[in-house]
Amino acid sequence: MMIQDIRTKRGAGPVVVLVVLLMLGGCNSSLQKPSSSSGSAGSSGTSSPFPSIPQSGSQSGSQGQSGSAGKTGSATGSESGSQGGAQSGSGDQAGSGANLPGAEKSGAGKSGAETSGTGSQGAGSQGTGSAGSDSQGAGGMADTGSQGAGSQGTGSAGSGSQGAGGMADTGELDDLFEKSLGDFDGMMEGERSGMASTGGGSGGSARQREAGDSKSVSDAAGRGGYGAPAGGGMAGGGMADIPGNSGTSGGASGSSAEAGSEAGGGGEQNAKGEFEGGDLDESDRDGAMVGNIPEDIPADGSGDDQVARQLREAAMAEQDPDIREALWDEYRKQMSIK
Amino acid sequence: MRLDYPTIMRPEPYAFAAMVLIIAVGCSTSRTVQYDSIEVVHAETEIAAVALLDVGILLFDPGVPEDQEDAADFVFPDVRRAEARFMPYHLKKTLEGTGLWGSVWVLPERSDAVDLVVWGRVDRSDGLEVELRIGAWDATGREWLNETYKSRVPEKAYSKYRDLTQDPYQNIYNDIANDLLAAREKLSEKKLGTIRQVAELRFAADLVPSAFGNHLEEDDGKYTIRRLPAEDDPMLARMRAVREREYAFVDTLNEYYAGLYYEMSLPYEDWRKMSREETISYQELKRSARMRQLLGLAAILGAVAYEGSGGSNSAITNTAILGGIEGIRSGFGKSSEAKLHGESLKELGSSFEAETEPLLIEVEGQTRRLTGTAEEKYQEWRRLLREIFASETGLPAPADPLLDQPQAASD
Repeated sequence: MMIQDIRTKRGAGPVVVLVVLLMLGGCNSSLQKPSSSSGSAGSSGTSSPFPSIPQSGSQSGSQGQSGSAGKTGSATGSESGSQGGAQSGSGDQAGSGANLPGAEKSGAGKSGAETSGTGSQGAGSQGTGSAGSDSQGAGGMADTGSQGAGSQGTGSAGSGSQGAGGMADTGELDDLFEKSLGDFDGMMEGERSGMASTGGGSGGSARQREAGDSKSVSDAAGRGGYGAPAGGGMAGGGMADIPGNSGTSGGASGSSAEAGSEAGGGGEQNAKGEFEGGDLDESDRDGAMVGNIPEDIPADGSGDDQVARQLREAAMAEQDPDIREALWDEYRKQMSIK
Repeated sequence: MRLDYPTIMRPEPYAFAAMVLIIAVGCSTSRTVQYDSIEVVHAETEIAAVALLDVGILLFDPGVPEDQEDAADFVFPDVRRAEARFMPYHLKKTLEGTGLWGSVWVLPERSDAVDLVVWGRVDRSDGLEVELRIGAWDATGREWLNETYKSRVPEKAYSKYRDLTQDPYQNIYNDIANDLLAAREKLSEKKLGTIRQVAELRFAADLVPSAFGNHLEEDDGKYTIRRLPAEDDPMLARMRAVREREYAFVDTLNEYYAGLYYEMSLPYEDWRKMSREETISYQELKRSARMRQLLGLAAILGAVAYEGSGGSNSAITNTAILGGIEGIRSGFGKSSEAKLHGESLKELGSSFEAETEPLLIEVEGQTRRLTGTAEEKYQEWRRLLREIFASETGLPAPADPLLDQPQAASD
């Protein structure tokens, strides 16, 4: 659909004027049709030349992440460390660690329990959770692991696992992995429920916006600013007037801007002026809403789409019977009610 | 002796009269502005599952230098920053509305969890005209789009009675969505399947390089599959479990972006509507002022030429000069009017900036906190999966630059 906005100005000058205009490089009023032009990605002098999405993104992206990984490593450690600490309290786990081959080499279930305790301290101070978890699984090797965790952070986990040979079995690591996933799920759930309770997120905000839309529509209807009386017709199913039309009719002054803005602004002013008395206070509006529904319109409005709902609200709030009927007609069209 | 010019060679008094007349009435341009209405293509038949690519739309580049804090040339940095979050979210909604894509998310930074990445830069947005540079690349590194989209926004686009799910800039979003679809339709189902596989393997390789690092080959940003993992590989299942968490994370993140989107949508629309009106007035007045000044100057030059070429009618000369002066004077008057509209534009921008700034700060805080938390977990999973891999295979865990870097840094 092509819509023309014609901003007509006073008559074209004679050829002489055009020649003068051309010579002086006058008007540059060419307007670009919405189009897309391909070409090399040009930079407009902005901070990031386009396109700057690295195709080897996983590499450079990883670099970026690793920067923060260093920062977050200790936090991870403390969280996982607390897991380690919690588990170290159970002698059973330490004992089971002692059944592993690696644990036999290094000695005792008892020492395993002790090292678990040490491990939890180390992890608590600065170590990594996985190092702590190694120490439980590996029993005797936990000493190295936990010390490493305490002193060196994340890297010691790797060395601990290599050195152990018979390190924590896959099942236990899998359990830790599953638990970590579960923790994350809980965290996300917490975020979402927090959002829901504060009315944030898409649901709450969408409702907020819809309420705002409805209010603005009913406000406009209440003061008669529907466009039809001011602009001279509900062209395009209630769309606002095309400025060019107004500009043409009102174009008595010097420039198209004046014409357009005067006409546009005038429309609103007229609308406000004519229907100023149409403003309702809330109680009037509520009262009016009850009895203003024609018989052929469903009372509950449960099947309304967004446009229909807004038309319904505007119609129910409308005091002028002609405008109200026009609104209901629009509603009928929208809902295909014969 | 009086020299009589042949009629045809004599300066034509009517030309000056016409010129003066034109100067008197000002600019005489006639403009027809065309607005295109672009409909978005919706799914009409069932789409093959393989074609339902997951799309990640990165936050747009605001198109202002990072160090620019104040408005310049009617570009308001905070407004642009807000738009750089609003626009991707509306593009997401547009793409979702077509039913032609899989999940669509707004992402704060690029992710290997999606099949197609879309990114854009806001080059212009003043309520009247919008210009975006949009690029799209799939997981294999193939470029789908890299184009500039422009649209001129009609007044009716701001009508309260339009379908309010349609943004005033809807044309541009529809255009982008249609172009993405056109690009996808050029690809066979096999190629689309490959994109999905590569996306999964890229995520896997990033998460567990020891297990999946050799499955892909990268050459100049283009990825090809070297081999596929066994479907019953337990590490693949673990990787997919993490990938699901990545989706849950971006879902949650998108709830925050949604909050910003809905909260700023009404004030943003109001700003655009008012900015549009002021921009039209400003541009037209500037144009009119320039035209009047030029015509005034031309009239004076014409009078001088007439006099210099022996024109004997002093009335014509005087009229042209006076008309020219009047033209220049009225041109300056229009300039002053334009300046007022310019000031009005600045006020509008500043007011909207003040409104959006707290919203931006809030969402930035929320997303950074959430992203930080997710990054910690991601590192933890990387570490655990590396150990699991070492435990399962008995091979020493290879060095992981991502995990080992902090240690190197601490050394």
